[in-house]
Amino acid sequence: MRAAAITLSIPLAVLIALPATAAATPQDLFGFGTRSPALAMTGVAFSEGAEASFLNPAGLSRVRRRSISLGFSAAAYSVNLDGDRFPIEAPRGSTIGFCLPLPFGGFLRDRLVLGGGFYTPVGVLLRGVVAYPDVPQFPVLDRVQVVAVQFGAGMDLSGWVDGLRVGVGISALADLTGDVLVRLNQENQFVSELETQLLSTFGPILGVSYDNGRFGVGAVWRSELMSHMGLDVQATDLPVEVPPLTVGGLVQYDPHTVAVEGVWHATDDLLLVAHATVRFWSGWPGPQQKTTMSSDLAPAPELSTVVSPRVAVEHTVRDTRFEMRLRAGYAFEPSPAPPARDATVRDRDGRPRVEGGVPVQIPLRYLDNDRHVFTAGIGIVRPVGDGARVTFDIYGQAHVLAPRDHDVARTDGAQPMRTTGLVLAGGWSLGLEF
Amino acid sequence: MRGGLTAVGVALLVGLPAQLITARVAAQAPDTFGLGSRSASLAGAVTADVEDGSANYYNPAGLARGGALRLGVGYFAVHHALAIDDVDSNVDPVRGLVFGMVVPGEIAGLRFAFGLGGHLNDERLSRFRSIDRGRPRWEFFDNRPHRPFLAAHVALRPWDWLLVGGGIGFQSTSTTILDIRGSLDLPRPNVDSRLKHSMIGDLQTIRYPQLGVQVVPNDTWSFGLVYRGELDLRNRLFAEGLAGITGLGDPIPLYVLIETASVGAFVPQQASLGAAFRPTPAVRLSAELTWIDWSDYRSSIGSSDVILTIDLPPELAGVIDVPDSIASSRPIPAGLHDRFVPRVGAEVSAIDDEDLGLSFRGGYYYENTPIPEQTGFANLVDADRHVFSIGAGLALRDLEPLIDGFVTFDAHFQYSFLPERVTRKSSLVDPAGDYRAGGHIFSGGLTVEVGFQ
Repeated sequence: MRAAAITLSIPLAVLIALPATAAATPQDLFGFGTRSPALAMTGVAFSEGAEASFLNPAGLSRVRRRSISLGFSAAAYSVNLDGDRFPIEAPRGSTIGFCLPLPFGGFLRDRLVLGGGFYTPVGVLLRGVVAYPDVPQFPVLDRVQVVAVQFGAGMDLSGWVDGLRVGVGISALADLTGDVLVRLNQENQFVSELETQLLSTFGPILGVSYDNGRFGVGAVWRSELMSHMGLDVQATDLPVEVPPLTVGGLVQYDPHTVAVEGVWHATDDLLLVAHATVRFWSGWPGPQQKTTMSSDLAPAPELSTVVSPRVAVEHTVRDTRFEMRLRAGYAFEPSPAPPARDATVRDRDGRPRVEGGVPVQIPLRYLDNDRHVFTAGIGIVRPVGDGARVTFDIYGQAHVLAPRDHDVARTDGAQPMRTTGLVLAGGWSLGLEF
Repeated sequence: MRGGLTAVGVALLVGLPAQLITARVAAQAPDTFGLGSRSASLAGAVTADVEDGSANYYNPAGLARGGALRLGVGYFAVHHALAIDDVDSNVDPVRGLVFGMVVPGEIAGLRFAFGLGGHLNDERLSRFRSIDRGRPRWEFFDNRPHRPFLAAHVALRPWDWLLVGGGIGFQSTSTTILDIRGSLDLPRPNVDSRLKHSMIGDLQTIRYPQLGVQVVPNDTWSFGLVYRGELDLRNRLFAEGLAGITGLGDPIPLYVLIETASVGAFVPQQASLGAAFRPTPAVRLSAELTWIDWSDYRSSIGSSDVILTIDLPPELAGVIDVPDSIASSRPIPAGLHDRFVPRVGAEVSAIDDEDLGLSFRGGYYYENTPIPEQTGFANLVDADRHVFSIGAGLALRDLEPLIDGFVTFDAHFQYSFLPERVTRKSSLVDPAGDYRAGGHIFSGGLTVEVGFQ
């Protein structure tokens, strides 16, 4: 047993060290943790452990043991545009989670739990892409190359209202901003002086849940979360006047999200889940910004608020030596984006740009599809002595993209675009509760 | 007009977006001013026996030393009074939140722990400022503390006398691909220029090791050794611009291609060996020596290659001058040497009851500057540094039933004296000329830690 504990501790020691620098959106696409992704990204009413810091921080208060977990997740894209494979880099990354029940006494006994969860892509911490609006792009699917950081605290209000829990958490991202001054130096050479700042941005998460042992409900609100990259450039001492430049844009975006969920413990070993998530994508302004004050703005993206229904089931098989949990679920993820189309360019003030009485239009090739998401997974819990347990969870997801015909062609003179595809995702985690 | 478009091309499309994602500088605040009030007041001479949240910086092995679950938070501030030729250099102050967490456990007789700790500046996560390399700058104080430190570790105590700990530090470097197109109007640039751009910016992960060990042969002595790996953050830019110059008749094609690479941050590898001695339960003395590999310093002055092409019609050849080529630039070795930093610390416990503890601390360390005299064009300013620290700690231990453990309040004050250093230029016409640099740094902080037994 001692050898097993040492063996488990070695990868923990090697892989645990992850700071919080920036965060967001893989969890919005695939879910967070390993139990929830196997259950169609549900968990608002029943989650516990580190994944609750994102799903619903109220669920953290169910935890009674300290825990730490490590894992890995990955996805593979097979997204097609007009029958050709569209290049979207598949995400791969490590996950880390922890839970920390605070051992207060008195009226705070067994009430407060802290938790955190991190996802770090293997290759990059953050990929910011600001493409021209007429270039085909998948703004919803292709936004997973980013680190994720969640912290939360849950409080069990049993005794005051039995079964009621509340929680608060944050998701973190960062803005990168800067200024550049170009001038002549003492040797009459043009030089640049630069100051950049990395500013943290936070999106609060508020959650509540209630359960009576047989039924449970939960609700959570996750705030909008954005990351900008931007650099303001000013040139002086030049023989000609150069307009100030702004380079960058909105490189990551999670919309305001509200999720509600109900669970029913049909038997001691069977959990049934029904869930709805509302994402307010209508607030997305698009990634581009004006390069100069007189530059045009890209057409408005005009995304919509969408509702994603989800159902899931978990069955527990118990043995004297371990527990095995079998999981499955289905989610429908409607696309918030209208079909790619010709759209009117906006002038510097955001008004439709008109020349000769005719709106100036360009192809706006934001591509997205409705997705049918099928999920499954297995979880194993095994006691290891001294009240400690080792957990192992694994999941898989298949996102089937419903075929979609768009209003504009990929290139002039071609047939309107058609997008289809399949996204496969999976992951595992190994945890220690003590 | 001559040179104007060259400047536009180089300045707008070359060196400027290049720095978009390069807010990284050498080292972080704990390297310069310490982490946590108790450890800072002992001048950082705690590698041998640290066990609070600051072990996440000083020695991760110490996480498994105590049995208490610890959660600490504090605040820290620095004021610089550094001057060049008696003129205040206006080095920005540093203020920020410090925190630390130690979570111990035991399975099958094996004691272990994991921890999180860090320093977060309160105005921004990080700040980087570059200036003309010819202008004097306090190389280790202007940028250095303005970045976060965040770390997590695991520690084991396989035997009572041996503790080992480690983790992987985690930072990022950047690669930027930029494309600018559109029109640049010369007569009315602010009104009629219609430039647009696309960008791909990657912050890529860099991992470096942090390892530590503590040896505790008895209750009187303790020894520690810690190693922190080197961190070299290279930033790259590939930018391409294709614009039409308007306002002079038919649009004139302008093409710019830029490739730059620079070291936005360099943290040298370092190792610290320390010992702590308790002649009586109420007195703790410590000393240690830190080696810092500054000789491997990578210059922050980058390399760049630029191609600029403007297809000028013959009638405008006298209006706009296009250079035949733009010279590439390459970094200049800074020539730093290694630094050995001696540290000593002392702590006296005035009160050590079951319900109350009160301690007083002091420490000193000396940093000789690794930067050679700047006789040439570069002006990396630094001076030797004598650091004196004092502090006190109050522990409340009778807090049941709410807390079966303790709450500690630790405060510290640190004074750094940088004796004046004279720089003499080898050239009589050097733009910066000879100068004197020195000054004072004042810092302090307060840390509160809750421990659950």
